[in-house]
Amino acid sequence: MATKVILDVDTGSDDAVAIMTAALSPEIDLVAICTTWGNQAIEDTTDNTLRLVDAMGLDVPVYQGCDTAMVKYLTNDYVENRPHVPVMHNGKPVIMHAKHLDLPEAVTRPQNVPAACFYVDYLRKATEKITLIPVGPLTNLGLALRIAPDIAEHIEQIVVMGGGSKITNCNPWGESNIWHDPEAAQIVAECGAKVVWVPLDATHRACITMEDCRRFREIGTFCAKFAAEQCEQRIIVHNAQQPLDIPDAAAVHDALCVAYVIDPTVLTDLRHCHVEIGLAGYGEGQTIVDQRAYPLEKNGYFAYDADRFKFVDILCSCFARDPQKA
Amino acid sequence: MRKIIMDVDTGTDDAIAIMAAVMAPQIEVAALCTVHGNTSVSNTTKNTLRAAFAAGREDIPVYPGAAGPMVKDLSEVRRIPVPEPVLGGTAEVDGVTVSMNPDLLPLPDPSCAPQATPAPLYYLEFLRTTTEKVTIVATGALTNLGLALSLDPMLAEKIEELVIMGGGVKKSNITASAEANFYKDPEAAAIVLQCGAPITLCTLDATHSCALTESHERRLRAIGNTAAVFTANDVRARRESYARFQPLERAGTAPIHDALCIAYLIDPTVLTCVEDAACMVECSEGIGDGRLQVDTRSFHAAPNVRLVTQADPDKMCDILAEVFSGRGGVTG
Amino acid sequence: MKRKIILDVDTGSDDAVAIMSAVLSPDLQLEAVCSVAGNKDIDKTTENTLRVIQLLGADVPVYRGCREPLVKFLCPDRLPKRGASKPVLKDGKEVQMHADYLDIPAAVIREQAISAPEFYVQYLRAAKEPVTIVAVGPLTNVAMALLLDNSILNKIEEIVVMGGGYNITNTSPSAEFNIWYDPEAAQRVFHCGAKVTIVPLDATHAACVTLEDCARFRALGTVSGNFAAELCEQRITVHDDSQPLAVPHAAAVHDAVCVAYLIDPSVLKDVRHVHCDVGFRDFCEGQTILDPRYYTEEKNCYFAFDGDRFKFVDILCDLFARDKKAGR
Repeated sequence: MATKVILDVDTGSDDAVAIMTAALSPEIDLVAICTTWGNQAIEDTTDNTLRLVDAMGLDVPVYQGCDTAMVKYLTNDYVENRPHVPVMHNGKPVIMHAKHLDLPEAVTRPQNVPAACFYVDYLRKATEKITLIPVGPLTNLGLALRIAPDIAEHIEQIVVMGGGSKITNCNPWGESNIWHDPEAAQIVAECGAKVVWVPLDATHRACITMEDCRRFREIGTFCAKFAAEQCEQRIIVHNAQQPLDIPDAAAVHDALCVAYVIDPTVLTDLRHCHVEIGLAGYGEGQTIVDQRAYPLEKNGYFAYDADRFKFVDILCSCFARDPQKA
Repeated sequence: MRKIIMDVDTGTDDAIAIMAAVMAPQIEVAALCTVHGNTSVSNTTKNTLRAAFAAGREDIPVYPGAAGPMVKDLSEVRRIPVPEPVLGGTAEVDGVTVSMNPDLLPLPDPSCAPQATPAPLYYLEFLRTTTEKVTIVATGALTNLGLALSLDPMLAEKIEELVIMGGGVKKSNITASAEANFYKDPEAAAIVLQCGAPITLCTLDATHSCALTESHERRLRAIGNTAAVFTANDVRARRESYARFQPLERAGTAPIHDALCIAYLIDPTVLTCVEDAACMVECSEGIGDGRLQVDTRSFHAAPNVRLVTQADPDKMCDILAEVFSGRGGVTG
Repeated sequence: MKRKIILDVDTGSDDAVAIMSAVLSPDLQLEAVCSVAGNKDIDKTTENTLRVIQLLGADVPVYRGCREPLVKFLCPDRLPKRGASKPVLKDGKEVQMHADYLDIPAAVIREQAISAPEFYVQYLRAAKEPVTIVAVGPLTNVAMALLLDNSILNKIEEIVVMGGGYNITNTSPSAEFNIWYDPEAAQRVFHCGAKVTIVPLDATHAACVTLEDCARFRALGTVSGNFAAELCEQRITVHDDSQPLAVPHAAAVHDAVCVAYLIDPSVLKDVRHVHCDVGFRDFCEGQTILDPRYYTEEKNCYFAFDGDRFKFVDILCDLFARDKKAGR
């Protein structure tokens, strides 16, 4: 039986790949998509999500989420996020996350309920446990868990894209999703449900190469082609700004979380450990894994490595199921 | 004669305090320590030498102190400069422009140089060896004292009294919460307030309440010597600046913050509201950084500070006028 | 026309007086009561709220609110440290500022199915006319609702907050309880852009209720008059013991002052338009920090520095007299 999944996205190039993978996988029953602020403002991430939902002809409700962090921006002493800097490629600026996905404008509208309220309502009524895959800042879930802590009992697992142990991106110690709303991440970390952290350590290992993009294109479906476009764009930016160990490759973070739900063996070094989020000072937004021999109570699973060949195979098999030709 | 060490970030109002202390027969200034604050420590050191020289002394040792706060600068978010309000203004006096907060004071340089010993080490050596207790008057950021007291908390026992210009109870200036001296080194201020020595804290509330008027300015100018005219000019520059940027309750007046500490040593009755209070200083990122916190519960903690919130402007002017005109012994 | 209000309470002795006042006022239409954790845990504040509504036989829905502050309890060093306060004894009985459960019949009526923040969003989105929110506990629910959907601001006429203090604090050297319990929520509400009126300890301590006033409540011979007298007397015992007011044998009945203000704004005196921030850390955690400078940052709140205790008590007497249920 397919696993019931709610995606929480800030679409976003890799979010788009994650949505396509989840929607096409026979192992996954995508019941709803929540949007959140993050890569872009909430209006844009919602619009991008709806564009993709329309382009794929999906019948999945989209719930618009929060437009800011729970508390981070309440004072004026936070450190500004660095804006996405475009890379010039063949005379054209390429950016990690374009403001608008290169798809026709959306016709579908988001549901009339805020994402966090949807979580509370849906999970309270759920008769089976639901898997959540939040791949943006965790604000919606943070709010939902504060409004109704009991919903944790209805969650199968929370597969979070976020954090990093040896690898960070938005500042010396933080990964963007966690750093954007550290308090919400900490609420998720200690909510009591099973939490799987898919950090940069795993997503950089499960990178997509130019070669892989060619494989996508050969599949010939709409989703395969669109994924190839997103990945190629990411490779250009990675090469210029954060080159990976493997040349001409990009992390497609969010999709790895979906792949893990389809086939857990795609994460290869998943350790049960105590994970906590730094909330102040230089540690703000840091995912702190208790490495001691006598750690604090283990509250999550942290992925240190992933299998990029398996990851690409999973993506290919999903994209091949898309009935729409490119 | 009361022996004092001054710790200053000179600064026009520090300069007035220095000149008053040096010229007051009741006070013996043993040393001048400098610190960052109104301007860089190299400027405040130069200015301190100039102020003492203007009051007729080249022999008082000047110890250059800390160039920045103890720890505040280590935090990225606490280092973010607050949007500092434009407060400094200038005024024309007899065709000459006088400024409220120049980097360098318009006074002649003496031939003497500052000491080689840094101020915190001077405190350590002097206070460890002195047989009589000494009063310390601190009118800048409290970094030097914070460092010295961290190295040896027992130094507090050698301090007869600590007279500090800093903090505000109902008033602030540099942020919505904080007064500049405390804000520029909150940890040092916290260490000093907790050190155990008797502390008289002249807050912004007190210095604003004894702001000088135009008639005070005229009276000081009429004395005619360097110190008095310098003070009158500063009152003028401040009166115009305050009228424009931060009008006080009494229109057309100007606080000479740091000078209140010296006026108090000459005549304690200049302070009209002094209460024992339990005080601490906020040391954390955010709105509260550097804020003077007074325990306002009906069941407050044990007092550690004599908190000064009001002073008498006429008496303040009397004291300065008498000291500058060489008749400083009257009230003693 | 009646002014529509939603009460947000952590009932609570003074909350109970506030709820009764709101229910009985001919000027106010109480649309709903939301509970929140604060004086007591959420189960107790919800039960106590239901008890008061039931006592008056009012037809007002109750929504259960948040169990915890937004983020405060994530940091172990910010958890409340309960000092071992010695019990106040009167006639051999222990008296508390807020008993665990109000001494009135247990609730038979139940709260609504949805949570308080969800209710705010649903109700305000659908509201045809603006509503006033009277929040007299920690501001968790209101901040949560604003996070869920900031556009509900259009439907909020005013937010009246019991909290904070300028010259007076109670929970820490620098903070009042409601704001201290969820400082981040308070900061969000104060800066949300709606008209915010803060009723701090400075106003509520001035508008105190004395033992004579309690006798007046009791003389009305109504259920609410009697119960209010009991609650106020209990508060006076504790105030006399651990935070005596300027007026002897008197108690602050904080939350009810907010409701009285909506009935007659002149019960608050010396209300100033100010810039108010909330501190988050260390000594200033939960402190309402008012910008004292001439060149103040943007003014965002109305802050009451004083209250009129005679007017306050007259308003309460007038309301309790309207209660149709005769007291024992």
